[in-house]
Amino acid sequence: MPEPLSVAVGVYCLGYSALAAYSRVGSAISPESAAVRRSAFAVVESGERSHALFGGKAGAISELQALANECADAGWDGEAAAGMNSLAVSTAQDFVRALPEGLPLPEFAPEPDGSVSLDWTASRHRRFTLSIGNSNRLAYAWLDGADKGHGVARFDGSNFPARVLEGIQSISSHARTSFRVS
Amino acid sequence: MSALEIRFPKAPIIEAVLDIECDMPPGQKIASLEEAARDRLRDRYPKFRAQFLQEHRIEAKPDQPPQMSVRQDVQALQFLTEDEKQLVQVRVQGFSFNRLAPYGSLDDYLPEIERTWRLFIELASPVQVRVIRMRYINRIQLPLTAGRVQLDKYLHVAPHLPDEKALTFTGFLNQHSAIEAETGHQVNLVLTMQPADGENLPLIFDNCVAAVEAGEPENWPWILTKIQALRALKNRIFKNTLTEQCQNLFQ
Repeated sequence: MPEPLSVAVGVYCLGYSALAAYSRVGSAISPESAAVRRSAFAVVESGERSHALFGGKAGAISELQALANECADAGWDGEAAAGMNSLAVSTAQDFVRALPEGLPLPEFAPEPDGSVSLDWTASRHRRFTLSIGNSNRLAYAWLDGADKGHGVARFDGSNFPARVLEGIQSISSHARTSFRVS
Repeated sequence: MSALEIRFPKAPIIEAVLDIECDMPPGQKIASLEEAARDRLRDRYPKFRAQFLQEHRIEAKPDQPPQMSVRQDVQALQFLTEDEKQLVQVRVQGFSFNRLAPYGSLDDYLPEIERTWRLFIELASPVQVRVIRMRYINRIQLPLTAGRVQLDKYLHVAPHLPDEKALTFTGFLNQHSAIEAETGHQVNLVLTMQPADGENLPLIFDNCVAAVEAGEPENWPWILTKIQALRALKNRIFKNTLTEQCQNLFQ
C-alpha cells in the first residue's frame, strides 16, 4: 500500500477552479501538456454549461466581457483612459471562477489605467473593492463604518486569496442588501 | 536509490518544468527585455519564440458588417536550444526552465538552472520569489490485452466506473489537489489518457508540486533547498501513484 502523503484536510476545496488552472496555457510546451489542457478544458467547459453549478458566475463573466468590449479602446471615458487590459480581464474571469460558493458576486467597473475593479457594496459605509491589473497582484481596500484599510494579495489563477476572502466575508456577513448570490 | 533520485532506463518523462514565480518590477514590459535576453542566452539557446496572449474582438454595429480586431500581449519570451529539447522562459510572472525527453536526472540540469536563473535576475530584476513549482509530465504506455487494460494493475489511484461489467472507459481525467501537512507544499496530480496507440494505451501522469513561499531572488541556496524538497515530494508521489508492475515497464 502506498504511504499516505498527507492528511486530507477539507480546507482547500478548489473544485473546477483547480482544473481551470490546467485548462490555460502554462509554461509547459510538450504535446502531452496540451493534451492535459484539452482534457481539463473539456471538463471545465462542461461544468460551466451547468446553470446550477455555474449560472451566476456565467452571468457575471458575461457582464465582465460586455464591459471589456465597451471599454476595449483607449479613451472610453471620453478622456485619456487606457483600454481595458486583456490580461486583467482574463484574470478577473479566473477570479470569478475561483470565488468560493456562497460568496456574493461583485459588480465590475473599468479603471482609467486599464485595470478592472471588482466591488462588493453592502451599503455606502460597508464595501470591499479589489483592483485587477496585468499582474497577479491584487490591490484591495475596504470600508466598514469608521474603519478602513487596504492591502495587496496575490492570485495564482485558482487559489482564492485568504485575505480577500476574509475581507469579502466580513463585509457581506451582516449585509442587509443587494449582493447577487451565485 | 535515494528519495531525491529515481532513475529508469526507459524513463516515462516527456517534459519537466521548473517555474520560479516572482514579483516583477511594477510596470515592467516583458517585451522590452527581448533584445538583452537574446544577447545573453544566444550561445546555448539560439532559437527564439514569443508566446502571446491574444484577444479577439468582434464588434457588430447595426447596418454595418462585423469588425474583427486582435490585440496581443507578450506573455513569455522562450529561448530554445538548437534541438529544441531544452528552453528557458522569461515570463510575465517569472522564470521557467523546461527539459523535454530525453530526460536524465535533475542533477544534470541544476547547474544550468542556476546559471540561467542568475541571468534572469540580471535581466528582469525580480523583486521577490513567490512560488517554486516543479511539474513532471509522464507518458506511460500501458500494454493492451485484446484491446483492454486493467488500470488497477498499473495505478494505485486508478479511476473506476460505476458498472465495470457493462461499461468500458473511453476516456477519463482524474485530478487531485492536496497539501502536504508538514511542509504546506501543494500537490496537483492529473491522470488522463490519450487515444490508444496500436498495442498500447498512452496514460498521461502529470505530477506537479509547489512551494508557495516568499524569498530573495539572489538566495540560490534557499531556492535549491526548496527544489530538493519538492523533488523528494514529487518522487514520493510518483512511486506511490504507480504500482510496481507499472514501474517495471520503465526498466
